[in-house]
Order: sequence, then structure tokens, then C-alpha cells
Amino acid sequence: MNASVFENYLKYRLPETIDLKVISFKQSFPGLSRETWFVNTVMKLKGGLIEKGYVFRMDTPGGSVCHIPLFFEYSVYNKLQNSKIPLPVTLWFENDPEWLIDGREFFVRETVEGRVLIPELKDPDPKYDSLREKMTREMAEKLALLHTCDWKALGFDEIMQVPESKNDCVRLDLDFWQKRIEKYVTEPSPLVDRIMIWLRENQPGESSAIALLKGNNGIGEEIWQGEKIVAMCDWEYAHLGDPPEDFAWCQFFRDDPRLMPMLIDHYKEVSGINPSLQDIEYFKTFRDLKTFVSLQMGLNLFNSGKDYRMQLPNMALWSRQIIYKLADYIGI
Amino acid sequence: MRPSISEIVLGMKSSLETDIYPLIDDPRAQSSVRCMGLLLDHILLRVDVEGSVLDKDNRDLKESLFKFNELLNEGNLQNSNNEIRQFKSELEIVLNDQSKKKEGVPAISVLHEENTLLKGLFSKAIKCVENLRDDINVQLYNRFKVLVDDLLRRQLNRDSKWINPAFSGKPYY
Repeated sequence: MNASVFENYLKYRLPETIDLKVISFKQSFPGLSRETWFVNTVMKLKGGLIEKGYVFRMDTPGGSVCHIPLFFEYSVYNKLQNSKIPLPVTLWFENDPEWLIDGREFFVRETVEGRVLIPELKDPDPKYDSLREKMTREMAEKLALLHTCDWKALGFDEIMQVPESKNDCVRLDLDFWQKRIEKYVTEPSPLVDRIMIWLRENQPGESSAIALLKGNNGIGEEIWQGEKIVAMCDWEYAHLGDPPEDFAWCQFFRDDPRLMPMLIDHYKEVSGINPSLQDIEYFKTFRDLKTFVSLQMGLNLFNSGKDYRMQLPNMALWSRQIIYKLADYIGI
Repeated sequence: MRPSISEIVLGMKSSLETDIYPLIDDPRAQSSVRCMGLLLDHILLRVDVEGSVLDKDNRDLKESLFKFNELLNEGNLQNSNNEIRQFKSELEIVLNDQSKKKEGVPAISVLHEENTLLKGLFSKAIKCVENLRDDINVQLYNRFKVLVDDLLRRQLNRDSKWINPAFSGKPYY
């Protein structure tokens, strides 16, 4: 990748600017499922010199590791632009053959300043307790905002499967993942089939709501400034479903026995939705299955020689630990 | 032949760790080298056990599928529906073919091919029982379930032999 690829494209998209130059660019790491490039530019606009950052997001050269179309993720960002959910400003989805990068389509959003990883959260020093509590409340408020948004008015029924009723959320998602397993997992796995049966047998009853869910969320996924979330990112696993699922995914908070009850209580106050602990436990199991299946799907690209990153077989083999844990949990 | 595969792999791992890794600054390249190290550990385990593990797994799968077929016959379920009929006919062809004695030591790739075929069949078997669930009595359903879970337990035990030692820690991105 070289700077001119980004520079030429931005000049084409921003004809009102003068002397646009890319001053630096780097690829985010680890970025296993998709490539994300941070591009910093300087340009003259309306007589002044300004610096501006852009983010280019695209599939890896071999294709989509997660087998979820890039356009789907862009569409989620796009449909949320006019909501109250904090998001990066999403600019363009590019599939014009003239502008593809190494033959790959991509989308561009503005850079949001902030931090994704917050190391002091894990520091047991009591001086960080207040930060932990504030961030927990912030996470709860943003999940509440997401789960209470009017997804139909925002047009999510045009790009997502819609459960027929509150009883149908989990069944619909199980069917969706069953199809993904059949289509993309590289070898038959009787154990995965057995776990899917357990998930069907034990699925929660009526959902507390049919809500827009983020899927993977929490620390590592959102951009924070201080104790505030300024942008929620990485929407590949967004779907319509039962709110407790997002608590099962909520990284860092989900594993902290003191913060998790605080997260749930504050969420209840703000949203009026009551996610049951039992349902969250169920969705942890479903989440683990989704993680395992997703990492197995990455092997398709490796095994076919389209993507020889060593992380793909490594993660796929490592993820067998997850399936051992699941087997133990369901009593095998 | 010396050096053996294990000796060669150990040499490669040592070279990666001592000669190459310290010279790399790029986090992506460091990650790739760390992943290679873990995969080489995994190869060391597989070299020793893959043939015997696959062979055991294939025998176990065949035996379990055979018992599965017997349970279908016992419950007089062979004609329950189209799916069962198709499955049973596929199952009998495979079991009949597998019962023929094969000469020589099979290559790992042959054992893999057989393993994929048998696991695919066992997956179908699991789904068939679920489809029959409402049509069969609880005792028979539970016998199917015990058969399935017992096999899965033994497979997990075998599988973990070549996974746990190399991949029991945190993943290396």
C-alpha cells in the first residue's frame, strides 16, 4: 500500500480542497477480520490549512474472513448516522472499479480521536475505581440508547432479518448461524451440531424487546475520550434480537463481578428493559459458539491459499479451547 | 532418516525465536512469528500422534455409526421419513465399504478423507435423531443421545492431545 492510493482517492472525493497531501498512514493491528487504515492528511480549504484524518476499511486481500459483506457493515453505519448513537461520520462506500484498492471495495469514515484500549481499567489501584464506575455507567447508557432506538424508522428492517415476534428472536438467529455453519465451516463437526441442539433446547422465552444489537461491544470495540464513548465501531455482528445478548458480548465489563451488576442496574434504569441474568448466561454460550464458528470460517481463506496469514490457522486451532469449554458447560 | 521431522521442526523453532524474532520491530511481523512458533509446537505433537489419533477416531466413528444403525432398526425407524431413508441408505453403503479390509499403512491424507466422511455422516445422524424426536419414545431417544455424547466425549479427549499443549494459553494475534 502506498500513500498515493489514498491521496488520489481523497482528491477525487474532495475536489473543493487544494494541495491535499497524505502526511502519514498506518494499518491498525491486529485487524484479523478486516483491514483498517488510518490516513492523516493536510489540505487547503477555504483559504486555511487544515489537518484531517480518515479511516479506510476493507476486506483482507483474500476476501471476507467473517463472511459478512462489507456493504452490510457500511449500511449499519450509514443508517445510524442520523440517530443519537455516537458514531464516526461515515462518508463513502466505494465499489467503482476505477477506484478499488487492489481490486477491493472499501468504505471511508472520518477519524475519531480517542482510545480503544484503556489499560488503567485493569489496574486494581483504588484510584481507578471512580473511572471504572463512570465508564460502566457510560457503557450502560450507550447500550440503552442503542436498544431503545427505533430501528424500523432508521430502516434496519431493509438490511436485517426481522423476528416475527419477541418469541422469535433467538430462533431466527440460530437459523442464521446454522446456515453459516453449513456453508462456511471447513469440516463437519458433530460437536458443533450437538451444541446447536442444546442452544435450541435451552433458548430463552419471550425477549424483553426486539432491539438493534451491536454484537461484539465493550472495551476494545468503542472509542473513548475520558469516561465517554465518542464512537461505537465494528458493526459486523449487528442484528435484531434480544438485548441480553449484548451484555454477553460486552468486553471487560462482562468478566468483572463488581461492574457487571452495576452495568445491568444502570441499564435497567435508563432503558426500562430488564435483561435477566439467566438469559445473559445463555447468550454467553451462544456468543462462544459464534466466536468459534467465525474463527473456523477464516480457515476457508487459508486452506484455499487466498490468505496465508499465520494468525488464521493459529486462531482456528486455539478456538478449539472454546468448544471444549462449551462441551463441558452443556454436560458432555 | 535423521534429522527427523521433530528435530527439523525444533531447529526451525529455535532459529525463529533466537535469530529472527529479536530483529523484528513490526507488530504484525512479530505476531506472525509468534503464530509460527505455536504452529510448530502443534506440528511436533501432530507428527507423533496424528496417524494413531485419526485411526482411533475413524474406528470409533464406524463403531458408533454401526450402533446407531442398530438403534434405527430396533426402533423400526428406517422408513420414518425421506430424510431417514436417504441417511440409512448412505450409512449402509459407507459401513459396508468400510468393513472391507484395506491393505498397507494408510497415508495421513487417506485417514483424513475417511475421517471427514465419517464425521459428516455422524453429523447427519445427530440431525436425524432430532428430527425423529417427537416420533420416538423417550427411552429410545435417550439411548441415541447417550451414544452421541459418549462418542463426543471420547473425541474431545483425543482432540485435546494435539491442541492443549500448544494452544492452552492466550491467543497470539
